[in-house]
Amino acid sequence: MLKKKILLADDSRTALMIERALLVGSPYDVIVATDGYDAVQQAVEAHPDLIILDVVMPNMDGFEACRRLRQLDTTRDTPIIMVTTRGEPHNVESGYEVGCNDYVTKPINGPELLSKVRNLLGE
Amino acid sequence: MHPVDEEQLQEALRENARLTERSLAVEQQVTDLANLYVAVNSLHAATDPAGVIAALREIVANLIGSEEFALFDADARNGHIRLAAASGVAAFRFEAIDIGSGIIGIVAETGRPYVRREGGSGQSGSDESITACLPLRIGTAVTGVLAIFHLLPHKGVLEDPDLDLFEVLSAHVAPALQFARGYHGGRT
Repeated sequence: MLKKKILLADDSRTALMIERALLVGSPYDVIVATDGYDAVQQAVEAHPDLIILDVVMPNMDGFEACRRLRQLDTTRDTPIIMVTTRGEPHNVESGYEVGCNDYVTKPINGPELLSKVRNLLGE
Repeated sequence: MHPVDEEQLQEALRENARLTERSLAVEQQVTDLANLYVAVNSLHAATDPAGVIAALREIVANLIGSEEFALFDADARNGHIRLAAASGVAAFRFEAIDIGSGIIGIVAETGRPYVRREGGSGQSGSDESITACLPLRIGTAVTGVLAIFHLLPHKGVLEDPDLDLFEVLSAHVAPALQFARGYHGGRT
């Protein structure tokens, strides 16, 4: 069976390590980007089934990366979960305005993230 | 077709609920263990003091849920605590701290951690705003103190896995810093 592919985009080494540790135990292939620009490039090239996108990243932040991904034919419908240390309502709203499908806050709650991943992948 | 046995159906549903609950508990355990592993790995991967501070900043933000901390070196010979790094709080607040004075000084003196599970409140950098104040040890000697101030609003309260993480920080920040200072100093 073909594994589903998840793109993780975060400039934080600790955040990437945690997200990878949670996801590699599940039946997913994980690829990594370390800024928003890289995330858009990799999403176009690798066609992930789902993208987990940090908000605060260098070069291009997560909101802008999400906005661009929604403008591209290849990634228009790819589910996106945004991740941030900022859980205030206006930040969450900004994420939905640029087209994310769901939202999690740091520190990451493993069961919550995995539940949202499975839900968006239709599992 | 056999008619559905109501009792069997109910038992299957109960079993499903038990398995779901167990699965969630395992996922939480994986998260907690991953946090501890990532914290240790990040601290010891740094080869210069700035790298250790950057790792600490990420650990405090991504694993604990705060953006405010101050790191101190304890100078037992002179009875002072010296600020080594601060993030999200004004450094001038910590210009002169005597060992044994205030929460930070008392933690340096006694080597016993201070934890306020509901999180600190009040003016940033004040004793009231401290969520956790941890002795940093090399072996049994307290060589520094880490003070973590306000929690992020969505964090709520500290839970048991956070306390496990504090123990890791207590045991690993000072050795990581000592190694990084020595390694970096030897190369420059």
